[in-house]
Amino acid sequence: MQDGWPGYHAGMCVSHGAYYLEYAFFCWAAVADDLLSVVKWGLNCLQEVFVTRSEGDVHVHVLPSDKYKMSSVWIQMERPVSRTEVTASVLLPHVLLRGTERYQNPEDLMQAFDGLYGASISARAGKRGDFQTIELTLQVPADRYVGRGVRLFASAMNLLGDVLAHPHLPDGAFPRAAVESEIELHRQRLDNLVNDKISYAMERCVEVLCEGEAYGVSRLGYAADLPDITPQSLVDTYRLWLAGSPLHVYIVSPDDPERVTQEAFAALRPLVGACKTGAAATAVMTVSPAQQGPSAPRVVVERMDVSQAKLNMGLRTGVGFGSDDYPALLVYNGLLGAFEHSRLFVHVRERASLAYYASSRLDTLKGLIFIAAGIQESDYDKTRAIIEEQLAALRRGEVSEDDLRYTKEGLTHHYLQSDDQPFTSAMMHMFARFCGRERSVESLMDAVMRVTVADVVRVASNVSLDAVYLLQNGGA
Amino acid sequence: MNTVDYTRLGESLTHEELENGLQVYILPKNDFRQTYACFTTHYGSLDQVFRDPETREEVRMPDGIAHFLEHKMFEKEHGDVFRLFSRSGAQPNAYTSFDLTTYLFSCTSRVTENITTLLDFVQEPYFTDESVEREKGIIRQELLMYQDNANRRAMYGLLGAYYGSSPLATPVGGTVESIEEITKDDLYRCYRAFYHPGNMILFVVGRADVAEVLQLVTSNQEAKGFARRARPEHILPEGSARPEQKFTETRLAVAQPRVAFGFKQTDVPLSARDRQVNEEATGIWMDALLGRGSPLFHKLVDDGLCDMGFGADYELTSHYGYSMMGGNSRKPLELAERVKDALLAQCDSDFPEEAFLRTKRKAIGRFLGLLDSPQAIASLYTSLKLRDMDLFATLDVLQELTVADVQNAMRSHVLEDQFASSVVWPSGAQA
Repeated sequence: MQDGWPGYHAGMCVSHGAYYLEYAFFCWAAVADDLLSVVKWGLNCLQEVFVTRSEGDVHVHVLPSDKYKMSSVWIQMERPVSRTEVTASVLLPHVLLRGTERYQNPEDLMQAFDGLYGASISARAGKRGDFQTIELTLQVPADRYVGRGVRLFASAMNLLGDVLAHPHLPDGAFPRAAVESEIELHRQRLDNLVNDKISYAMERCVEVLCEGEAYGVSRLGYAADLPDITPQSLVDTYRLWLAGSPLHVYIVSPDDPERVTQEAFAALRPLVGACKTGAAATAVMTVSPAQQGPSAPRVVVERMDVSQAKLNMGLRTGVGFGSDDYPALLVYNGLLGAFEHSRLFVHVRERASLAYYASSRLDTLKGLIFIAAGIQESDYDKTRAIIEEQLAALRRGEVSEDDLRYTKEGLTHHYLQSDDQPFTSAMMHMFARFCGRERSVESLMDAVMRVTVADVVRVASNVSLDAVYLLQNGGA
Repeated sequence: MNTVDYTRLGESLTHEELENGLQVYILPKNDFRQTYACFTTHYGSLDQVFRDPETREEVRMPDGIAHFLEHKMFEKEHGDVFRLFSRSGAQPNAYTSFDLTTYLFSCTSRVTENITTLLDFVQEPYFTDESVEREKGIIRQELLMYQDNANRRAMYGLLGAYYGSSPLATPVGGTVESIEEITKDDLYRCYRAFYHPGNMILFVVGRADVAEVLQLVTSNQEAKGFARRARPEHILPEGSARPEQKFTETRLAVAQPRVAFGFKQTDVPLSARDRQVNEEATGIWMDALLGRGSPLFHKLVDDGLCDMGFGADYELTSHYGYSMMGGNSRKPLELAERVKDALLAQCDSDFPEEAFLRTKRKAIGRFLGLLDSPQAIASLYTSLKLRDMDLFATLDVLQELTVADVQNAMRSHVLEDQFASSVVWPSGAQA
């Protein structure tokens, strides 16, 4: 939501002043990862509900669900992240939304989606652990809510399929004006990263922590790469993705699952021969190993004209979704900073009044924890000392029975609640694929419930604070 | 107990007004895992001045007090309320806006226990001098965080142009100076004025047994013995019809200017139904003329005047209304002029019928999508109800909407004299 206009993307122009809301707590997906706390349903559970049908390397996973009024589609392609390809790959989904063979400019294409009861489409590149992804989403009202005999899903799915399979390529290349326009927009997008200080500081902390690693490659790519991107080179990038990635299509819909599956395949038929699972897709995510032995964290201080300083810290845990200690890591992060009863909230905010937000976030795939707090610059030493004291307290096993219980309750609630959003199950399916470990929600929750203080101490003893990033006031 | 079935939508809403005046709404969605409840008082940052229901005198409070009160409600004599919710695995929060304060939780178990916690903590204030002072440090950091947010600064800049020094242009949370004045006694006074059940709405959505929840809430309220009382008198700020200023600007560490511009509404429709029609009609002309499917939007992008985040929004209550458009722009003044000129020109010709039909369908689809979110249903239903509107009437309003409604809404809003804009320029000091 870097450059978004609140209220707009919801498609409801009228937001009833929603952007003026001032919250008691900063809601920042604290438990694990950016999209919900996805770790819950593993493959075991999914196999009961998701029905998968594959043709070539196109895999359509359908989950029938009466609870939603919308049909939701999420298409994902994935490749190991590459420093040389990252920027062009980030640009690609934006250019794909510029037109298809049938609707050759973006306004015609968007009007076609709008005409289907406002079918909403998005296309973006993402970073998931060591993988770069291209993700397209579609949401459209289920046929039954818009009238008899209407085939909204099929029409919207065909449009989406065209975006991916039949882009507008006059003379075999993307239109020059479209590519130039998107390059310029992306240059601005990169420049504008500094506008949102909270996410900017977060991104910088990732870069500082993971410099030289695949995960340290910027999610949005690099401005320096932009001049090398041409209408023709982008076609190469497009073909590289089609040939080098499987296509996973997740569909959650109240419509008839058999019909939905057929309509999805009909829309994606041209891609069946094109998508190939290379060695790339079988690679399994690697968890960042914890630092061995004590060493001082890397400290980076950056200056900018800001009212509030941002303190971010990066930690390695050596434990990931596939590890045996993963349930204990969830509890560790919960005790540290995922909830309002967590140590960071209680000690940094409630007791010392140093911050409005002070929390920790777990990157499940990489086993990294990121701590963030907005503070007064002069309180840096004090805040950092309090945070490090919380890490030490967990190493010493200072965990009250109440805190342990509340954390387990909180994790359970988070997992269950996120199942009320259609893309959550798809996310979990992806995690299981990436980590090569199936986990059912029941088994994971059981394991969380069995975590002891000794387990938490074992995880804590391997956690290393490896990066400190401070954004503070002052001229550059 | 009054239950309305929205058969086309597959939803049913139960409403009951309790003896003490509390409005209770329950919308069961039993295939969801969560229960989401919000408890809202009709009290926000606009209520700086009000008539004390006990003394009948007119009282003026420091800016940001409604939001401060919201923060302080979470602290009790025997510890924090978060811990009570944590104990039963629930996730609480709260927010304050111009005209309301909401306390909420979501949970996936122990629904009755959590509803009781919600009602009890909001109905048992506990403030001390010491805890009020401690909260000032936290809220100061919250306000400083907002100060670094270019979007907020542009929006409040535009509200400042529309409304001058009115509370309508003052940040909901107040300022780092104004919150320093707040005392424990102020908080109690505002609490007593606005937190009576007769001024409040409870909305429960998700997994819920309607009869059981209603019974629980009724007996919880009866036990507290609130006497029925007249609603508090809101004394809302008066202002001029025209914008106070045509233009405001400020500087911030951003890479690119950010602009907000729009029109200040002159006449607000008297009936709530007319306002609802007006809101939907406005949403449609904005989307048709400025949305992703509009020729103008893509022209602005390709001419380098805005990026994909450009958007438009509209706010209308019984007292005020305005539009707000904009986003990041290297040429913010040119962008504002181009959009204004295009909208003024459109007012002189017939509204395109095809675009009207397309965006109307889109609005219907998006309304259906909103019903998949318990949180969106609860918060939107409540905020509309406080403005005497009905969220579930949206579908009817949209279906009955005509191109003439859209044309009228646009012509009564897009007026040269009502235009204002606000820019946040890069300070030049960023890295």
